[in-house]
Amino acid sequence: MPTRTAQGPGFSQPDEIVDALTTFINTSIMARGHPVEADEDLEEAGIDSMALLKILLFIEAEFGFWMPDEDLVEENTASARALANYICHRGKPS
Amino acid sequence: MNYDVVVVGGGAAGLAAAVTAADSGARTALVERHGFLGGMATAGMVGTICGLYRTSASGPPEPLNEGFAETFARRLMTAPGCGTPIRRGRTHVLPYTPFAFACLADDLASSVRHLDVYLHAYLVRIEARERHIETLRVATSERLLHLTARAVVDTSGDAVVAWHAGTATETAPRPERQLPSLVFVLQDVDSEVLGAGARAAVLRALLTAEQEGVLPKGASNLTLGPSRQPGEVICKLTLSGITEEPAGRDFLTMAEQEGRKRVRAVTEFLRTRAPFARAFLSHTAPQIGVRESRRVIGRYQLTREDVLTGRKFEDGVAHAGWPIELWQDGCLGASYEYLDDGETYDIPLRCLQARDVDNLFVAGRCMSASHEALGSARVIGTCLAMGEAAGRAAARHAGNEGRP
Repeated sequence: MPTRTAQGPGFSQPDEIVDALTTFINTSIMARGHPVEADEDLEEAGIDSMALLKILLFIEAEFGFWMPDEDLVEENTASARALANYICHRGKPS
Repeated sequence: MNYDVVVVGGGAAGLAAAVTAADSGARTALVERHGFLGGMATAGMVGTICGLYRTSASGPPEPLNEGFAETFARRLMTAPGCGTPIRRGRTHVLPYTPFAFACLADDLASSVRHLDVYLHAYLVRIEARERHIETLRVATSERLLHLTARAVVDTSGDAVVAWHAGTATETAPRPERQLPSLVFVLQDVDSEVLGAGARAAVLRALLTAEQEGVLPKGASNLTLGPSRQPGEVICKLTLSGITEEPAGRDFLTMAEQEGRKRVRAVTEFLRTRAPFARAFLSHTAPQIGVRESRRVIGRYQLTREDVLTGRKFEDGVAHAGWPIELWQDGCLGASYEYLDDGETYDIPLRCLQARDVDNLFVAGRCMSASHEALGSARVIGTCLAMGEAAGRAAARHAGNEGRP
């Protein structure tokens, strides 16, 4: 599967990345009928480290990079929006 | 020795069954193969009791069952090293130490008259006549016991009473059967830096090592739970890929040996990462944690639909609400299918009654349920509640037959 990047036309907006992440989480991890919201704390919603690993594998497949270990901190992983902000930020030249 | 009720298997379900039966006046024996009670809760070192509380996205824990399960949980909370319920996703679990569980089980078993506990005791033979079990031969290292019973409760987890009696049982085929896990404990871990993100990073490194063939298959199917003890991390390795059973070898023998081999390999790998640089493996659980094995065919078989729709039964004897939690080969971690918030389903008494033997009752992992339904009903909290129900039903059956 071709990877998409944060700069790509399909993912130019953080909201689109948020949608992609919440869709993945809600279809592949969360129980049916109990979706997480973009700003909801993932750990409180029951996302354990194994589920977080699945999200990281999704990010790798979709956006083409592993989040480096040093960036796997609560600030970046607390919610779908936090992850999207990280992905978006990472895609922009510093 | 003559008993009204003989309970085989002293795990959560068997303890509840034996104490309840004895408390109602039935002369009761409890037969346990380990040197302590608790089953998977102690020998498997599960570490949290699931299935005690209602499903709810928010709010405090609400007990699902009064009676033995609730009393047991309340007393366990006051034991050293144990605590109050904690939120786990859309429900709550009760953390405990295996030693506290075993001690509370001892206290409860010795608090009732009419209950004889036999530890280090194995069921070796059943004598049955038509639809009736009459005697159980039980071996300890000191003697061979000959126990007569008016009613028998199979809480062995593996349906060993039913199997010895030659009555109907079923076992899911290996590829569909839930995977066992081995709990192991690491010391001297820099556990303060092991937050959710850091744990995910560790799992990812294990997955890469597994994919590159550096570690055996399934090495990344690991949970890491920092304990309340500084530097201690309680790990659970799920054993996927053990599919072969060469003739003459038991699955459990292979799983125990393979489990120890894998947890040593995983520990060696973890030691290459900073938080684990000084870590060592102090011990594993006394036995592998079994999630699914042989089940009794009862008068009713609980189904996935019964669980997920919150079905109630006229002969309902216990409330349950844990999600259908399945650990399958080829999957990372477990899949969970939750009931709706506040919803519960009933365990009907017919699931705890053998179809083909009139005086055989069953509770715990070997109850009558489908593979999926058991994924919910097998948890310790539900075992406590259904064990109590099975013990009460067995005592009543024995009483109806007249005391010896």
